[in-house]
Amino acid sequence: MNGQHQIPQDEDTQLQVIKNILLTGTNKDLGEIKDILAKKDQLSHHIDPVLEDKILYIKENFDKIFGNEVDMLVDKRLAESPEQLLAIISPMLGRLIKKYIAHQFQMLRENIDQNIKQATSSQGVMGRIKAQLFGIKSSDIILSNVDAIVIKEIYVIKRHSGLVMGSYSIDNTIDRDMIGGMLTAIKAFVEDAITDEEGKGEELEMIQYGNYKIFIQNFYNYYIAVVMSGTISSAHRNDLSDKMISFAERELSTLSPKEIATNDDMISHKLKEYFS
Amino acid sequence: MISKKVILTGSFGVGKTSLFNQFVYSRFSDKYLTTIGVKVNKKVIKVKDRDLSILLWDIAGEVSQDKVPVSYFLGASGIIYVFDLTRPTTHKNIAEDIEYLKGLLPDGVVKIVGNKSDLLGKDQIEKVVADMPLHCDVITSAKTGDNVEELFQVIGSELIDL
Ligand SMILES: Nc1nc2c(ncn2[C@@H]2O[C@H](COP(=O)(O)OP(=O)(O)OP(=O)(O)O)[C@@H](O)[C@H]2O)c(=O)[nH]1
Ligand SMILES: [Mg+2]
Repeated sequence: MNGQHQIPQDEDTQLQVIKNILLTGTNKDLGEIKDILAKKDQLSHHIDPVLEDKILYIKENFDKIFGNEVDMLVDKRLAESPEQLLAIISPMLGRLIKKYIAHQFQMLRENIDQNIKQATSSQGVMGRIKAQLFGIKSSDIILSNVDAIVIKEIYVIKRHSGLVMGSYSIDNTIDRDMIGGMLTAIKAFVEDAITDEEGKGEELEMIQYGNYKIFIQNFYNYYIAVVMSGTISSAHRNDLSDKMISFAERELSTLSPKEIATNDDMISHKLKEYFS
Repeated sequence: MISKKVILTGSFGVGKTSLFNQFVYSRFSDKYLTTIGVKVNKKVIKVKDRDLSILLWDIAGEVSQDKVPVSYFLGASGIIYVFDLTRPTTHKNIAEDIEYLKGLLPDGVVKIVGNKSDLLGKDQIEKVVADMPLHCDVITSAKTGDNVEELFQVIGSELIDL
């Protein structure tokens, strides 16, 4: 039978043929894979730096490249659920605005304090004349004069219980234990009511009613409250705060909590010495 | 003089403010004005021949004690937990409430008070108290003043030696 495939007779040749049939393809494939791998390795050598460059470029020019898309996305989101975005943005805005206003106020106050200092010092005589020339009433300048300030009462109050550990009062008209208790209760109420991110951990520092102000300086185991009347500038507030801190340092920090709680007369006497 | 902070707590409308007013001013009103925030008052009582100044904090009632701002309890030596003998809902959480309060003030004195005794008969009161999971320390009426002085004597005598 011509043209028909001759099957080799001896076993060795037969095996070789089977091997060839089975393995040639695989060998070829393996070779190709090896090739590709080598090329890939080579390729990545070339491509990686380029890719990195590209990523960096995108990073740096993100808004130029995707700005429009992002804007559109934000617009879309904003239109879909404005509350959600506002909720995220508003505390940030609030804090910024608050900071800005507080800063502006501080500058304004300092300016006024500075002006008053100048107007009332001997070198400020020219300033005063100028002020009169320009129609500023001297009463406006004297408005925040120091004399009007009167310290009415001072209390050293135990932090949580509100028990009074020492006090000084110029006219002794109110029950000091009630004041200590109520002040502490108000503090606790306010501090507890404001528990958002910004208010957390903050403490009440001032209460104002009419011409009266209660300044509170908080310490670890107790706080000092000063009741004052009169026009009080930020500079005075600052001085007072310094005074309260130095009083605490000098007179109270050496005492144990127990000693502070049981030395009412001594603390009251010191308060009088220090603040009157 | 020894001063101690004592806080009146419990659900709303149980008569905390009424007990406070009866104790401090010896007066009672039928009107219900719910307390907002805190009111502090003081009364000096004689305990074991010594003067004890009680600074009494009257707070807004809450159905469950863990809703009360923790800072109100801090620094307190005593807690008076008031419930209304006529309203079971005011003592249904009592076990959890008392456990929570004792956790807040491990060294504090806690007293459980059933109020409005004037509205129920003796038998009814006994039944209410017997069905509760905890022992009720004092049964009061802020309206008639019954046992109000006694309540503060009981807590005062424990506080003065604290
Ligand atoms: N009959 C009677 N009524 C009482 C008694 N105690 C309080 N009440 C009345 O119960 C109502 C609530 O009393 P309050 O003392 O305001 O209750 P409260 O616990 O302070 O309530 P909140 O401040 O809302 O937590 C008022 O109408 C009181 O007149 C009592 O002993 N007997
Ligand atoms: Mg009340």
